[in-house]
Amino acid sequence: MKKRDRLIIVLLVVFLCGLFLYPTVKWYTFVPQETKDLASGSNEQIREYALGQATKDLKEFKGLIQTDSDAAVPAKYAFLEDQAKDNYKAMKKDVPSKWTVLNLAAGYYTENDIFSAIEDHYRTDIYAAKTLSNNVLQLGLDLRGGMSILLDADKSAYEEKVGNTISDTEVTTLVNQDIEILKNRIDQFGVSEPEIRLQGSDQILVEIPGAADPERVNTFLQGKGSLLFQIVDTDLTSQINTEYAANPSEAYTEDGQIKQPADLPAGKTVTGYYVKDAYGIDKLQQFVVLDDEIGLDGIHLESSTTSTNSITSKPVVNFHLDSTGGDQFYKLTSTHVNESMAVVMDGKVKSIATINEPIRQDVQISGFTAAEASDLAVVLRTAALPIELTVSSQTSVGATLGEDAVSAGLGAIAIGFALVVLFMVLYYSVSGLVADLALFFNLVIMLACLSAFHFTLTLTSIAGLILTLGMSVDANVIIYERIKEELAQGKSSAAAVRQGFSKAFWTIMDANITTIIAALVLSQLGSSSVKGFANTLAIGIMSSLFTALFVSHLIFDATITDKEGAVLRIGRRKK
Amino acid sequence: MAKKDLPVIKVRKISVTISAILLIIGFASFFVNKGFNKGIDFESGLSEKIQVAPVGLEVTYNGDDDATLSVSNGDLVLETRGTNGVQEQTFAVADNPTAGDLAQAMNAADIGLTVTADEASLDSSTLISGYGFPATLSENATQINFAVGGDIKIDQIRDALTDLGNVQVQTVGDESNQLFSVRVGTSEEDTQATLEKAVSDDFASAFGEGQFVVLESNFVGPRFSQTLISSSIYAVLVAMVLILLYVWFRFHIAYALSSIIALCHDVFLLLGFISLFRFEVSSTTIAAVLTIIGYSLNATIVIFDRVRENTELMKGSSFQDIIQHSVSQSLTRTIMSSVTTVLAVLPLAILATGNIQLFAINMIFGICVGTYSSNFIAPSFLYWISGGKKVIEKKNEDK
Repeated sequence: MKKRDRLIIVLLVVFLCGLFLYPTVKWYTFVPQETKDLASGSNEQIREYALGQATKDLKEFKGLIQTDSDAAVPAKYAFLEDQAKDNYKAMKKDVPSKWTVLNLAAGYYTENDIFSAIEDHYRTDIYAAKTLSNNVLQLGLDLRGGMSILLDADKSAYEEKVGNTISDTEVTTLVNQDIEILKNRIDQFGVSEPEIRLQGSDQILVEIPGAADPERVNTFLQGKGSLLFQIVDTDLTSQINTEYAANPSEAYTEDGQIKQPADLPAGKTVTGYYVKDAYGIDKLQQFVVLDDEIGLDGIHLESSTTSTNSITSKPVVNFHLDSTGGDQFYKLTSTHVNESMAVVMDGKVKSIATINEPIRQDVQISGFTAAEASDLAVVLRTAALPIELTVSSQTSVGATLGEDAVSAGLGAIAIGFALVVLFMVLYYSVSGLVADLALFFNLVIMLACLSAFHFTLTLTSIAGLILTLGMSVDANVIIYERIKEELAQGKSSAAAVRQGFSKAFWTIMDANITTIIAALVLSQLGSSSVKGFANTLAIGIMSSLFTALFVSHLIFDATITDKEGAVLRIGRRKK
Repeated sequence: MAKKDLPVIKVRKISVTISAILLIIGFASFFVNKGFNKGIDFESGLSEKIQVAPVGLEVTYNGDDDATLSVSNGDLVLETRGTNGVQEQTFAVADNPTAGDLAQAMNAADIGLTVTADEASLDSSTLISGYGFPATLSENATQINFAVGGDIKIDQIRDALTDLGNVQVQTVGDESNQLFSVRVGTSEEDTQATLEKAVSDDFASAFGEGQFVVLESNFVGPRFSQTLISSSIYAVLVAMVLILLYVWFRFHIAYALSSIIALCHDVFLLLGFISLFRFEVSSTTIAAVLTIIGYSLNATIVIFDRVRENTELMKGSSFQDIIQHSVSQSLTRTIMSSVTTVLAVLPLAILATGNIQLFAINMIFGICVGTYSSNFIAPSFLYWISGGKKVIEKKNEDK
């Protein structure tokens, strides 16, 4: 391969590393601590903050107009200009050549629009930070404290429920559905960036970093969720809605629950119809009165998908019931044709549909937008855990206990790295520097790979990292020792380098391939902390192969092999 | 030329004897110590670190925001999240030397906190945060404990916990710290919650409600520990078989067998070392064992590679000379990579704590053993298995 091509490959790798490390660098150096704090909050906390800030800013903005309507727009509100421009165009008016607070405000139809624009601005900022934080190289639980929970799928309980045995692959499918549900539920809690993943074939590992209240975490893991189909009392529903709309203060009890009116007939309950807002938080749309009698329990639901009705080309949600469920559903739908049925999840109405005809097992619900349809399909899928989970192990590391361990560990790692670097220069002089450069490059590649694969950086994986660094020097050592042997036989620098690299090649390959085999087996079969170690080791060996056989080789070729009379400085000669 | 070489094959009987003796010591210590000192990963049950410490402050919060209280660098930190974003307020120990001072400062801050000092004279620098911290504040009082020491003896803890059956109690550090590690065995029906509650109830009835803090709580279900052991052994076996196949393919069966023997030698010596010094066995120990496998194999392969090459080059020499010459030629490299790896791990062994420190110590021992075995044991067995005859059918591929 030509030197130029090799240089291009090296530069390409550097570029890729930069790309993978960019979010991490940005997060740890450019994102202000305040934004980081905000992004770690729950959706509800973020909403409260965005609404609060928008209220304050709008008040201040109105104040600016009152004091001086021709004042220039402060940089803080410059983001409002883009939408104002669009609105001016939509209103078929000329866009002002110079923005003042007054004509900026005139660019919005109502005050409420300005408010939403400001609120949107705050929300997008924080959610952008939240997304970014998901892509950065995360510190593991042992480094920043937190809780790690291993959940087992309760296979026997499931078999008892369905009445026949299930295979391991079926369990894995069910466990994967559980993971989806847990991920969905987590949005409601203020836990920052939890990791939820499959371990082995039937276990779920939940890692919640930072400060987590053990009790809240348990409610979220153990919560079973309920999904019910109930009949809607249409007359009472419209009656209650008018009553409560006229008298909003009467709608809720003191602790925020929806009030049940005293004159409500027995067997009926008032609940709310909720949709998710921009923060992913349930927001009340209207009140709904339901028959207490449960038409169908969601456990009879076998699958649910979205599709498009072939005739009307409107989005629909299809779901399939088991045979018992089908019988119950037929009984429900045949007695209530032309009435409305509500899908109720954890006591909240998520969807209302009209029953057109009696239905048995295959149900189709229509009458909403594509987004609503897919939301409902998710609701139907995620209401209850398909297979129950039991806690297999639970570990929590207090952040205080972690702090000392972290600083000692990190300090030790830095010292180790420095010692290796120094030792190489002392022993191999200038060539040692090349090895150190390769070593440093190796470190960058490893960190880039770790963040590209979303691995967390635990103390064990850092140990793997430092160990790999120590070992990766080995490839350079093998090459250098070969070169020295060649020099001792009286060869020229250029010939010695060429021979050294070619003779060392298979030695290095054989030695490293065997270690990679061990690392890969471990990363597949080991337990979680061993896995982190093995992943780092495997990545490290591969990148050290690249840096030693490719990068150092290129440097030597450019400086020694291709230059007549160049002198190689590689420390003490062999006698 | 051959005279300057290390006489590794000549001394083979001595080196194998030394190894045998070391292995026997390791096995003996395993039986004398009745197995390994198993860490929480390997023994199912609940393991808690509990500190007996009086309650100094009781904090309630009546504000509108979400408030949490944590301890950072010894200072109390209140974090509120609301319409104004995240706000932090620190109540430094240096400014408030006693619990009474802290209570006064927190009440004076006028942020919805009501703090009562149960024991105003307690030294603020001893305040501790336990499992469950940062605490979410509410109208119900959150208690803050102060580790001021005391004179509760380990036997009193044991007495308090007798009803739990299989319980082990140890003091952590000096007894006057009143920090105890408690390990409770588990049966099938126990869950973490029931065991934790049982331990806390016993502590509460013996030393008073709230007068202790759970610093750490780990739970391992019976199934988990079994899977950990079996999956680790399985992983090692699979790795060994694959390595054997690779070396067989690249070299010769004699090379493959002797490198696997050297590997087993390293693993058993390391396990013997761990058992002899009663080091705790955890999942990081498995990581160390596996790294040593990779490391020692690496060194062995480099030497065998030389042997293969020299079999071609030194046609007139005996296999003994060839092996000895190869070992000597690789010697600088062997020493260099041992030294660099030890340099990288040594600071961890000295400065780090807990599992990582143990990992580093195991690693250093393993590196020594691995270096020894790849220079002495693996070549000796190669010599024996091949019956002293040169074995090489496959050509070195760079030629």
